[in-house]
Amino acid sequence: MKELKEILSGARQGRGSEIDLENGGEIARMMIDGSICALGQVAGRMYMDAVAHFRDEFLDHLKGVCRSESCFSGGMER
Amino acid sequence: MKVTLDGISLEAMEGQTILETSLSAGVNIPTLCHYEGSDNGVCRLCMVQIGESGRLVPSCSTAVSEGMDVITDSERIRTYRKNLLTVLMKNHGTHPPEKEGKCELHALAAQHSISVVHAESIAGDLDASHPAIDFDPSLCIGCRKCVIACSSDQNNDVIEMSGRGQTVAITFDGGEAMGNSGCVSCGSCVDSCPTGALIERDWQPADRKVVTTCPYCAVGCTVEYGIKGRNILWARGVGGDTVNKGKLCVKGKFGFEFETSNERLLYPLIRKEGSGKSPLNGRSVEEVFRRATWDEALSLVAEILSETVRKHGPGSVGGIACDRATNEDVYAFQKFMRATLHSDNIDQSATLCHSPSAGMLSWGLGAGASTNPIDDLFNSKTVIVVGSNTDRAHPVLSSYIKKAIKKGIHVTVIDPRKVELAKRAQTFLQIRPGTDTYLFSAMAKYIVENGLFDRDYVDSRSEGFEEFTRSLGNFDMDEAERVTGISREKIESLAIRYATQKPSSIYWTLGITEHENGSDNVSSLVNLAILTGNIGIPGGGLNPIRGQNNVQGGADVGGFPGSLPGYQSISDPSIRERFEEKWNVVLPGEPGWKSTEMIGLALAGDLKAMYITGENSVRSHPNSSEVEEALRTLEFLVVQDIFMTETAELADVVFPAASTLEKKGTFTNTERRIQMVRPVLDPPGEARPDWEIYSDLSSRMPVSIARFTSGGIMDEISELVPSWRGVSHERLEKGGLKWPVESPESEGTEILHVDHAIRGKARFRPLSWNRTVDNSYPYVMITGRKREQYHTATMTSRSSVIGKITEGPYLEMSPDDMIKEKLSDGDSVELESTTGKLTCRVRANDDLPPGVTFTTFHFSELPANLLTPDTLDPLMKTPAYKDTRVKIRKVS
Repeated sequence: MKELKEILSGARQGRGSEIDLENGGEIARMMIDGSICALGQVAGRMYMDAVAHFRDEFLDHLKGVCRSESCFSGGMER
Repeated sequence: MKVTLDGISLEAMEGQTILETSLSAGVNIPTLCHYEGSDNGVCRLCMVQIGESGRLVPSCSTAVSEGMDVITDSERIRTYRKNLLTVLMKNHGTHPPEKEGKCELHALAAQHSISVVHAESIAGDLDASHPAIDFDPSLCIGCRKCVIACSSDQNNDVIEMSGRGQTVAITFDGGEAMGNSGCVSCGSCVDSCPTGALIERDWQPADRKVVTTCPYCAVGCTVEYGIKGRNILWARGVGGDTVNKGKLCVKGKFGFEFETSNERLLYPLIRKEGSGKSPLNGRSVEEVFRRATWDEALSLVAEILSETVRKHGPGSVGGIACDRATNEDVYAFQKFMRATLHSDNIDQSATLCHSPSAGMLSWGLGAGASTNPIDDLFNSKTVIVVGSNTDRAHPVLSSYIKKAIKKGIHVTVIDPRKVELAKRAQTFLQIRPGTDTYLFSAMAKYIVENGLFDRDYVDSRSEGFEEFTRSLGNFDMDEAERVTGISREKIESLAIRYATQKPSSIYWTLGITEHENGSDNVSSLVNLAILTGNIGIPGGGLNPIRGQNNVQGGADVGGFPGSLPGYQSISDPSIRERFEEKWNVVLPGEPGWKSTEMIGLALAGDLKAMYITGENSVRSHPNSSEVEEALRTLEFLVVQDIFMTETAELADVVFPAASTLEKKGTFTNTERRIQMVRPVLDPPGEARPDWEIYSDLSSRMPVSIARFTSGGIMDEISELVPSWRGVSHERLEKGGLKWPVESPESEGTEILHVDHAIRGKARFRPLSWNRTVDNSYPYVMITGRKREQYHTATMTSRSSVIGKITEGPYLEMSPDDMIKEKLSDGDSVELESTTGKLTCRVRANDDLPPGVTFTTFHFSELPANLLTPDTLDPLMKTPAYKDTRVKIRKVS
């Protein structure tokens, strides 16, 4: 959970790489498979779905672009 | 049922988990949080796959089912485990290099080719507040094993998980530093921790490990020692089919330093000519004794003992066997005393503790031992714990009683002091010291009068009922309230519960036996159990919890007067004949003297020589100054021990013995379980196992007890003792056996007296009440133990950890009495009894009722037995340690 939060926070600030996203996927898969309770399983599923369905937006963030400018503008976090 | 494990079909037992099934099939599944007997299931590392494309389930908390197809190793599982281990390692702090070997997480990471990535930041500061244990929160992976160990297994309830989500952490008493918490230093958290977050401060990897039986109390825990060179590095409880299921107490965990103490006796010593027989009192050992060779010392002892027997007869020599030594040692000693010296004056420390229990259980039922095994406690509906501070004297057994209380089994604690178990039990009855016979006889009277007794059992399997019921006329319910201090209503309520909420069991220790009427106290319990048919059934029974590691075994193999090995009477000519034939000697036909009687005989000049092994009689017998005088009066005293005790200081010859961590043999625990003892280290200097010394000594005398091996002695015991016929070292190497073990095929006996009492019919013992108290000594002084100390502390005082934990010594008094005597904590008082005076400090303890005081007998600074009178139980000659009457006077 903490790992995913770090990856997502990084993307929100325009930091990180595709490898980080892939690592996050591994962790999310592990959470889906191994969590004791549904909260952990759902948290992993949310990450997987977010990265699968909005992959291009994630990749934009890693390049320093937030299309909606809700995370940052011109590299500055809001 | 059939299950498939990695493609192989195998049989599994219903109720087993996948992990248990895999382990018994030799398939290893990695796990970090698995705790024997608990379905913890938080680390998620032991996930296995069900079917080819099925879900992953935790193997530790998923039961097998018919036809289940389990895959423990696949690409998917390997990836899963590697990812999980990577995350764990990333959040795992840095070990001190020398302690990394304790970390199972590191080992698993290496197995899964994960490079070590340390945490960027440390999650918390090192807690080094405990005298022996460090807690590094940065190494904790939140597996909860320490919580289970402390709160569900040991039931000490100190460690818990606090916080939620990512802030979750283990805490001690809700946030105290470990050293300031209620931690009892049992070390179970350390032993269970998979990462070394909780670890012994001076932990080191061991070169080798030895599993043996703990050298302390008679619970009989199995311990693994880690050894490097000639040092024991650490001790760890062993799980599986053991009494302790992985647990230890502070003595077992941290009390092993005596083994390598530089104060150990290394060579035989002979008193120098002209050095008077008195305590060393500051003189060095070398001033008083000279080093001798074994040959010289053995020859001297052989010559003088032979001469004493020749001049004064065999009855002029007495021997005290060591109950910390093995069955093999005690057997060899009693054989030496009886066969070589022709003296039946052979006793053991049971006379100072549970002899009334053994004697009266034997009289009533036919076997002087606990009737039911320890874990049978959980089959009881009603449990009475009387005269036992189990939490202090038998901590591991106490953990089971605490668990029983949590499970809702009704436990009643009866004690003059509000001991730890009393605070947890459903019912606590604060009895006046020494009035147990009245309480239990009043209960019996109520049960009889109200028809609550087990008529079938009484009619068909007991004798003496009519005489017994007549004797109950000696007890009156209203008087019971006045005598015991317990209300009539509570007495009746307990009587109803014990008789009707069956099965009911009774556990007791020395609060019952160490009274001038100790045998009556025990018989009052035996009578109650016979009356209600609580004998020979699961969850029932009568269980004296024995004190020393091998006090049960010592008596079993003949270490008390009149009793040849296996409780076979020396007065019975046919039994004696069998032993005489085997040993090729003529044996004494009359029972000899008990150890407490030997002291009086020595004082009177009737006993000329004594051979005391491993008993610090000067400090442990009552009326210490008289004991010292008696031993000084002897013409010849041989002491065999591992340290220069106060008793050894008075000896003419001192033999250095190997400790129980240095020899092979067996102990018998409190539930009759005979267990192997294995050498952990070689004896220091020229110290030798006790049985070797007796053997060598006898070879210099007219009758030799034969050259033995430890296993050979056990073979001889099993040949002569019908109830040990199936016992051998070879069998015991595979696990303990509870006697009777009547054949090599027998698996031993869990519960005694099942179809009928061993003696035939269970026998009631009529009792009466006639007790006067000398009111010129207004306070009762009870002596007992601390959790971390053991008897006269010859062993425990050598542990640096125990030294840091121990407080005192104090005399504890009720706060009301402190006010009455105008005393504050730390004040000095003079205690005076009929036998002596001593000065000590006092401390208030509101667990004590007014009029009752408590102290220990561990410390030479407060030798409490100077005050205990030599008032003995008339039948078993056990001293009344729990009922010393004293005056208290403040001194400035």
